[in-house]
Amino acid sequence: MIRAEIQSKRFGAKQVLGPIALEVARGEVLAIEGPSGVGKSTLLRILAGLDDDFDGRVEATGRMSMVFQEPRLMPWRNVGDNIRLTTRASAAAIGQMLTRVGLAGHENTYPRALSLGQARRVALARAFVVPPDILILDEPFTSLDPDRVADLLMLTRELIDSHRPATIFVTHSRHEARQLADRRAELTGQPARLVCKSGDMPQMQTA
Amino acid sequence: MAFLTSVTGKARPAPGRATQSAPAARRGLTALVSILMLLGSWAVLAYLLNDPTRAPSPAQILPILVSETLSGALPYQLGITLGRVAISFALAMLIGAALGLAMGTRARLNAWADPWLVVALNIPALVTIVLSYLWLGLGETAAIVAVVANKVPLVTVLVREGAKVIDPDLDEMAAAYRMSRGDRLRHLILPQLAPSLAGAARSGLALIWKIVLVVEFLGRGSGMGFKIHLYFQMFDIPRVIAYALAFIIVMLAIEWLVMQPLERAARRWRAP
Repeated sequence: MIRAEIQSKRFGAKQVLGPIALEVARGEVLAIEGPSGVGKSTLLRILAGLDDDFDGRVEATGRMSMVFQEPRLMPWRNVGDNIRLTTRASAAAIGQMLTRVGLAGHENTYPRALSLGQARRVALARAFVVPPDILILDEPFTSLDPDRVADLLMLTRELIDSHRPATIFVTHSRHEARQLADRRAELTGQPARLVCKSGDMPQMQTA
Repeated sequence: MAFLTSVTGKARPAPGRATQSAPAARRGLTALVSILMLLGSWAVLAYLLNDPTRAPSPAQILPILVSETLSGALPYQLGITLGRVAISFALAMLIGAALGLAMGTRARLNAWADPWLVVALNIPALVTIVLSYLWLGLGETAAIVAVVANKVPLVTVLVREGAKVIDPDLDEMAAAYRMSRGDRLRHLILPQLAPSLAGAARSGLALIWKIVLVVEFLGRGSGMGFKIHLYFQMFDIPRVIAYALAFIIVMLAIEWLVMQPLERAARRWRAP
């Protein structure tokens, strides 16, 4: 489960995020939509524990995995090592997960020999090879053609259904959000706030 | 539940070895012919000058090399000098890499330390050597310190430039997956620094062995530099050339057999 109560996030004098409260339980998928530059990635970095320079609190229990906009694979390591070194998963688990994402036998392939779609599948395999309690997806389907997006959406849905992590999914696409999420919210305004689009959102607790 | 097992997208083939070996063989052959041409030019020049005491030919140096090797004098002195080169090289790489990484990843430290680095880069090697001997005495420590002090700034600069292009996205990925500091250094940072480290090692070795000879020439009682100094005082040009040539051959062998393959390995993952 992940719970956040963010009062504000600033870059210098500019306040990027306003008061934001969210809570995602195990097995739930919350989609956060919003235009470019509104602060979606900033919010995700805070939720992932990559940025602690903000006013507020984030509680995250359990193992967290993250899938980024770009696959972010180490080009000097093969696929198997990319997964093993970041997750400490066993060779057997890596082999099973690669089979599951459609890349059976690609353990020794280097990232430069993969297409973008394959690299994104490796990123998904890395996120799920050790079952996560919390999953953060930062626009993981960008720059792919519609057919590939549909395939990856289906695969991601299946993996989420299997492992049931608390999932926060940031996207530009309303269609992707509807496909994957149980609840949808939009990050909007300056400073940005989270507006509920479907389902309930928690209220900010006052101290 | 049905899972997707088909692979979408097409894999591009990795570059094959066969396509790389032919140019490598051609490069090796070119280097060999080039060296033979150099030896030939030397022999022609020696023949034209016709002064074996001042300008000995390769044919006159070869017997000296053989006799000094068989007597054990040359391997002994060579071993001592190589030992000094190895220690100085290891220390300079270690200190320079640590400083370069720190300066390349911390803008404020770089701003403060950069003027010091510029000063260090511009101190003549001879000044460092003389001051080391004056401050620390004519001992082994002073010799090593002098060589290391000459090399560290260059390694620092090269590693700093390499550290500036470390991919922040990969660093963020490692943080998101809670990779330990040790794992991040070993698996993320060092591979990205490898080309800079390999470049620093190659240029460093070329610089260090020359400085070691000067250090030995000025203040040590052993090593190739000492022997060159000895034969310099005796005006024995053939032996000066023989000792210098022996060391050049060994350093070129290290360069071709160790340093260049290491550098190629360090850059391999960047190949298209």
